Order: sequence, then structure tokens, then C-alpha cells
Amino acid sequence: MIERIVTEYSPMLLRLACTRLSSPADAEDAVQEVFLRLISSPVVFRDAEHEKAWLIRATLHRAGDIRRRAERKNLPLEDAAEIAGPELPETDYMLKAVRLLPKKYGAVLYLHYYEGYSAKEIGKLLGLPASTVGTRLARGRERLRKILKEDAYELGKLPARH
Amino acid sequence: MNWENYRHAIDSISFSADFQDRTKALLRRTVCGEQKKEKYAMKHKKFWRAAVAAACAAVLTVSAYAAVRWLTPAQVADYLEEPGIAEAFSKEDAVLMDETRDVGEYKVHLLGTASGQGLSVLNPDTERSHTYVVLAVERHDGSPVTMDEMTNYQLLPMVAGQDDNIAAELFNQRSVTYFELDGMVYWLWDMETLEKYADRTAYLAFYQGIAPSMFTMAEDGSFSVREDYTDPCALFTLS
Repeated sequence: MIERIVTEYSPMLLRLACTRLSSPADAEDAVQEVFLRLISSPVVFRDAEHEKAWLIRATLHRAGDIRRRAERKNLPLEDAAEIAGPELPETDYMLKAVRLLPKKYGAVLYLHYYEGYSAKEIGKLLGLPASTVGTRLARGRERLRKILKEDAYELGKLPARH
Repeated sequence: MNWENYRHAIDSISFSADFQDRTKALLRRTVCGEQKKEKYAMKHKKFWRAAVAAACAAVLTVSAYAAVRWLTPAQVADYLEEPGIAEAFSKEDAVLMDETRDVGEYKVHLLGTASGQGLSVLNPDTERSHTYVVLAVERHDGSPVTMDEMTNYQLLPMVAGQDDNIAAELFNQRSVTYFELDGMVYWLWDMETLEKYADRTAYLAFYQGIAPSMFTMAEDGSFSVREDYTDPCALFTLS
């Protein structure tokens, strides 16, 4: 069963972890830890949706833990990422901007705009009312616009100022 | 905002090409790797459930058991809407106990075991007999325990002298359901195979961490917690 889960969910979970972590290597660590957690203490899944929801939530928790660990070491996350592995391309400012959002927005934006889930489906996956997901999508977009506007230079969207 | 850019950026993230292969190999090693030991002489014992029943009968009376403040195993199964398991815990051959271990800031109570075929609604299996184990976790200082706190803890059945195959079998065939009620967290564990190993000492480990590297197996096949292991960990002997 676990090998099926690794095959089926790895790509999505790795991308999801990257909404919180700037290093792909850290994202791989987070997802591996989720799978290890699953075989160390297997959960009875009611159905495929329950399985997917558990994996998504566990990945967000692990990615959050890794991010907090880096922040506790007083390392700016980008520096921590350099130590942990290669950075994402500098031009990926949109992804960087999403990562700067509070964590509750990043996951819903990813699940909606990349995976194509509706607010209702995201609500089921994250255990939230659909209305809350709708609010987070709206506020996430709003904050993202602000970040993209105010931090364009830092995000690499525009050439550096001299 | 151009969400196409966002999707493109995500698609362009480069993960290790061998991530899935490495991960599957790691998972296989985790299941078996820590159990790699020499083959030891087996310790023959009588049927473990009967032994547990006899030991518990000697020290516990029904009234003493009922006097404790937590749920009974049957109530735990009822709460989880598992009437078949609840009934099994109400029968005479269920083993009710209160073995307590200190695990870090918690007290872990092993409350009972029961076995049967086709009992579970959530995890139905009419072909093989399953063993169900109920534990309750409370904090030493009486403050509430939450389910989130339990996410780093694992339960693992082991049998004396187990080889790689048995370890992998036990490792793969467990499942868990747990819930929080009145400041305690209750665990219902479902395992398939313990009765098969009735001639061996059976253990239930509760520990923090991922791999069961905190246990050591003696030459006679018995398990104990490694002396130099300092993280929270407890080993219950079921027979």
C-alpha cells in the first residue's frame, strides 16, 4: 500500500511542500518524513479522500516544522535553503511571493490555482468550511498583489535598483 | 496576477529524479532494517492471551477495574462506533488490565486486548482474526492531552526473537484510530497477527520517534529498551 501512496501522491505533495519551503531538498525531506510517519503509525483511511486529506495536512505540518526550525536558528529562510540545497530560479517571483504569504493562504492558493480544486473540495481536504476557504483565497490574492507590487525588486521581478 | 506564471514556476521546480525510488527503498529499510539481528533461540510460552488473562485475573478484579476514571476498552470501541469490537471487549475472553508506564510527561495505560474475526466496521476483515488493543494517555500533572501532541508517538507490536519477515509483517499490519476525550487520548490499535505467535513473548512498544531503534533484543530473543536511549519510550509485555 505504501508504495502505491508514494507513487500516487509524491509529485503533488512535493509541490505542496514547496509552497512553504524554498528548497526542493527540504520539500523532499518533508514528504519523506510524512511517508515514514505513515508506516510508523499507520492510519485507517475511510476512503481515498480521507487518505489524500491526511497526506496533504501532514505534509503542510512537516513543511511548517522544517520552516520554523530554520527560522528558529535565526537564519533567513533563503540562506537556510542555500545550505540545504539548490535555490529555485530567481525569476520565479510569483512562487516566492506566495511563499511570503502567511501559511494559511499558500496552501489554498496552490490547491486552487495549481491542482484545480474548488473551495468546497479544498474545505474537505483541509477540514475547513468552504466559506473560510473562499475568504482565504480572496485575502491571499489581495495580499499577493500587495507583495508583488511592494516587493517587486526583492522578488527579482524587476532589475535590481542601483 | 498571472496564475499561469505560478503554475509554470511550480512545474519548473526540479526534484530529484530518483525521489520515489529512494523513498520506497528508505521505507523498506525502515520496516526491516532496524530489526536485523541474528536468529535467537525462541522462547516458548503458552498462548499469550491466556497468559495475560491469568496474570491480570490475579491482580485485578472487575470492580477495581471499573473504579478507574477512564473509559473501558468497550466504551472506547463504542465511542469509535465499532460495536463488534466493543462486544468483543465485553466478552469473558477479553483481557482487561491496567498496566501503566511513564513515558516522558505522560502516563500510558494499557487497558485491554480482545481478538476476533470480522469485528471492525472501519477495517473489515472476515478472513483473518485481528487483535485489538486499547490504551489511554494522560498527563502526569492532570492537564489535558491533545491529539496533536500524540502525532510524534508510535505504537509497535513485537514478538520475542522476531526475524526480519515477522518484523515487517507486524509493522505492515497495524492500524490505529484515536480520539481525545475529557483531557485524555485513547488509542484503539488493530493488529492481525499476534495470535500466530502465541508461543512467544509479545510486546507492545509506545515511543517517540520513527524507527524502533530504541529497542534491543537479547540472546534469548527478549526485547528491552536500550539503556542509552533517552527519549520517551515504554515497552509493555503482553505475555
